[in-house]
Amino acid sequence: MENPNQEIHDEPLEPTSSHGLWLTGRFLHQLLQSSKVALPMLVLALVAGLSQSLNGIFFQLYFWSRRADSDFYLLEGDNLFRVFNLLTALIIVYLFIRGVLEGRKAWLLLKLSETDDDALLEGTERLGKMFRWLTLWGAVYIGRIIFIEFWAAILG
Amino acid sequence: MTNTPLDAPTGFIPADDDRPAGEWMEGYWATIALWAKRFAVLVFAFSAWQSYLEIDGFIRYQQWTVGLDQIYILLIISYSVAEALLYGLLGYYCFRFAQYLERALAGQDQLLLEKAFRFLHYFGRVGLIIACLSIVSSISQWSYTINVMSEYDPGQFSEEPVPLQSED
Repeated sequence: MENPNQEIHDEPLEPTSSHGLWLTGRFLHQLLQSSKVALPMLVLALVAGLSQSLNGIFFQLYFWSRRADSDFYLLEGDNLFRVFNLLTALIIVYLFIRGVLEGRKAWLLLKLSETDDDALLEGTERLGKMFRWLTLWGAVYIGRIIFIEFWAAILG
Repeated sequence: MTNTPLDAPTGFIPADDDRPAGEWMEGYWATIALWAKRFAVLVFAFSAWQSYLEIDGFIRYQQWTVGLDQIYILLIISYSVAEALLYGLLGYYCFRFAQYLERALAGQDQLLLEKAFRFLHYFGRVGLIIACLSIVSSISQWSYTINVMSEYDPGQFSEEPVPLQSED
């Protein structure tokens, strides 16, 4: 008499899961939902960032121009610090704008990714570039803060 | 309905219209995970710095103010501390996104991949809140700048010009 349990163990097991990464409908729909949040976020971040940066630069230039008239010497007074401040502010603004614009392009493409494979591929590539530009921006921003603190500590 | 053995692996089962991601997509995801992690660390550092500045400022101001002024200072600084903590949350979501993406790529785990992009969605939501708060901050900064400019007295900084040695 055959063992009924043996028959069950002899049957080949059908695979119940699959390894590997897939472009599922749920994943692509998630990208679409994320683009609806990310696009307004990037626009508002660009407006806020530009506004704050222009405010800071304008503040510096206005009071710099209102000082007593005299010839400009780089190493005189705090002129070197002001020039450093201004240049780094411009670099920070540039890096921020590059990051945000790259992000905007990425999410506009990812919005179409449910039906367009090229948009999905290019959008994903640009998302990596967005994080790269924003990382550079963050590094320069924090580096500037650290440098200013160090400078102030040295000068007392 | 078929019986499955207790030790059968559970996990993702692709549908008929699902497609494999492919090497290029996985390559881009690897790049995203790398840079997102670095960005998250910088956001954490900024959040910690901002929190320290605000708390230090509050401790200093508290010594000089009394009564209602202390409450106003507390409200203003609480707002700034809340903004700094939001940056911390932004960094957390970005870090988790990068971490789950790395693990998904390493283990070829579809569920982790989808979880990673859910954290990217949360990152976007927190970023949107921070962007709105930043616009409010920038409006107050501009009003402060215009206020200071209108009250600025150029004579306040006038000094006797110091003759250069060559002019002696």
